[in-house]
Amino acid sequence: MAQFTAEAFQNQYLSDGATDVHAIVRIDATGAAASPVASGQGAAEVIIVDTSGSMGERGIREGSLAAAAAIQEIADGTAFAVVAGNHLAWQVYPSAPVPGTAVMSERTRLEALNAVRGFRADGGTAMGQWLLAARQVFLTVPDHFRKHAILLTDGANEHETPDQLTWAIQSCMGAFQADCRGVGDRWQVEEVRRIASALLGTVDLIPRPEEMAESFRALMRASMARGIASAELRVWAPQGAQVLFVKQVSPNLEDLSTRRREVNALTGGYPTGAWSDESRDYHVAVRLPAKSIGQEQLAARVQLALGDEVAAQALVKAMWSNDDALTARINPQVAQYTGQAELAAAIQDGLAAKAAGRDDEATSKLGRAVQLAAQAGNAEMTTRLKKVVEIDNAETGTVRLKKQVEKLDEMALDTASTKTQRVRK
Amino acid sequence: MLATPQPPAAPPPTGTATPILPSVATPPNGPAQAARPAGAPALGEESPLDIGWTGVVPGTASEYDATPTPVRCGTCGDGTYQDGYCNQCGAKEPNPRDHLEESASTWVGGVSDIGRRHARNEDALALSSRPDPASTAVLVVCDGVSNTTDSDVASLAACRAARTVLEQPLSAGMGVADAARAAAYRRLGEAVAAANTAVIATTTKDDPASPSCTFTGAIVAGRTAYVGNVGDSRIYWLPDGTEGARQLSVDDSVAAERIASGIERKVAETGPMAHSITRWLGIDAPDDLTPHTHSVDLAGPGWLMLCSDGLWNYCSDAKELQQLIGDILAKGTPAEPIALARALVGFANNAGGADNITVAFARIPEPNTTAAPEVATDLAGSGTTEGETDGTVHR
Repeated sequence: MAQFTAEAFQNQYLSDGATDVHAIVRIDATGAAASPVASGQGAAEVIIVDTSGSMGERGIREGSLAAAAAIQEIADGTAFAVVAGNHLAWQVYPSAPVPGTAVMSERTRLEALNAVRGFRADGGTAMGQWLLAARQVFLTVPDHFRKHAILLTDGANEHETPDQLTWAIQSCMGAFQADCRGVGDRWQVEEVRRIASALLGTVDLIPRPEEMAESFRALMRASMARGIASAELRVWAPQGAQVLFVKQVSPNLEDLSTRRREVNALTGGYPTGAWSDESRDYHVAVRLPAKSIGQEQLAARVQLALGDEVAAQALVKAMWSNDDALTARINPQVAQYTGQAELAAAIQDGLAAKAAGRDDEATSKLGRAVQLAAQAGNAEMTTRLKKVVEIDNAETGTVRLKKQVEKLDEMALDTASTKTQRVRK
Repeated sequence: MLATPQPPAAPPPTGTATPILPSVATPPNGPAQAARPAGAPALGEESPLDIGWTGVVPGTASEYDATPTPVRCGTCGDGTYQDGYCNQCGAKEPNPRDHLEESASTWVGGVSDIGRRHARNEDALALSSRPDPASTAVLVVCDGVSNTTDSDVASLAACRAARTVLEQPLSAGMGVADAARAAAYRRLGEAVAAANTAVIATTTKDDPASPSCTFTGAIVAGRTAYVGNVGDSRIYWLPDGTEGARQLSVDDSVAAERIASGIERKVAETGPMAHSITRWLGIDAPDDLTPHTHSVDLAGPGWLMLCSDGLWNYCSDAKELQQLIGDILAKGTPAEPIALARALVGFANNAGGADNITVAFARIPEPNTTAAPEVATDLAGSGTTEGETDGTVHR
């Protein structure tokens, strides 16, 4: 049986009149890998591969190999299907006139491997269609199953409107999770991030087609380890309080605030998807009515719930004090994740401004990103930023946009922006 | 009468108290406890380590086994406490240790309060009394030294151990005042020793911040009070009116040493290290724990007051305290120990509440309202004249 623990990191001391309480809640899961879901019982996987014309002969060949690599990782007993997409989408395996899954076995694995060899590059790109096809497949498996998809694309969503994609994404929210990967430099990071974010998955760049297979293998292996099909983060805040935001801040940034569902009048539930043996950090911010010096109260009760059962709980407290030595401290976890969120926003806004030709804004935002990365000692992000800007002074954030930038470097910076560095205890 | 710890705001309805937080159950005191055989603090019923936590009272243990009934929040009135906080408004569940009230009789009572700035109430008090005014009573106040481990447990253990010793009847002796005084001083010395043992019993081995506390005790025997102290908690005799107010205790503190060397009282008591005490109870106590002792003729009417520095930080001088009490009573506070103690705690809290505040009173009425004479013979106290501060206690 999986075990969860929750721990809050915060400075509970508020100065006179202060109202905002920030805490990082770390949730650790153990024993998830031993669950039956991890061995395929009660899990469903759909592999979605871009077969648009832009993939070309080489792309399609590598796409087939990637799908095959993922299929190899799927445990026996898992319900699975393979969907091919261009401006339309169709179920490649199991080949049947209606959506559905096959149960993984020696026989079905061979059949599926054969089926993915038949991919042909043709047509346009309409990812909304692919998602809706996957949703049809997942609708045929029982509700309590862990439902996960891998989506591969190589291009922009050119054959449907943004509204159509939005509608498709919204239809799929809560129906399944999706990890999304873009290959090459012709896809739109922001577009694919929108899908992954809504479907509680990750987005990443695969620079070269031949790297797809390894990426798919790793994604499927990670998914197979998720023995907890679904868990919900619950945040209780007292009457009269306002939950300012709830964000996942590690392993990657994901603002969950808008995903709230009402559990009861004082408690909101936020989806966290499936869990393996892993550790995640959440940043919870609550605004309270100020109380007098010396008063103490509970600011938030943060729980992880499996269905209706609470598996772990951490308490976030507030204590008003006129001792500046206590109230002036910023908790290191809160500080670092706040800085990383600001860094991610600066990078994304800077790149968006650069793409729109607003060079002054881009220079200012990316300069701020360089400054933040330097302050945090985030060498990886500094290295990535150096490929996009010339750094004159990291301390002051003085930069110049590079004349010649590899598109892939820009995309790598963009996709990496939401990956956070773990804060030591 | 049982001394009942009260939460600061609205007390929970009777019968709904739960052991979610260890409750400070108070053992019986007063006449019932006075029947206890002499010796160590009621062994077998209650170890000093248990004091303040398990509060084992014979025959009532089952109440602690019962499933906790949800306690309604005293702040918003809507929610119930869960994990120590209200599940509606988030208010912290009051810890009964934060505010203790003890009423031993109509004329002896006291209050111990956490104050405004400290996270724990490390002060404690223990009282016992016969019902008749100015008959026999024992008052003990101990102030746990902050920044030491579990001083809140230690101070309460010390108070109760001292009370157990002090409430043993004093032998009538030869009926001579000197002999009675000597016996009372000896008893105060024994109470300090018992309190010290109780504090040490709460100490974990090799604790670098071992618990420690002050000691202030008073025996009221008819119209005479015998008092003793170690540390800087105080005893005052405050007659009604404007005359005769006196501090009876002698501080073992850096401030007191400064005053002795000629520095003005207010300067010394607010200066650096003013709150550093030079003697205390605990495993690291100095060798000489002989209390400063004193006896006083309680002519009455007036108040015998014991208090911790949480009060006298805001009003130290005996005459000013006398005035303060006069003002409080003039504004309508009933002339009863608990009511007056609450008012003084309120005064200290309004003045800042920088430390825990404990105030205990024995109300001494006018002589013509004194109770039956046989009570007073208990201690051969009649006719005792005012003694001097006596540092030579016989053990």
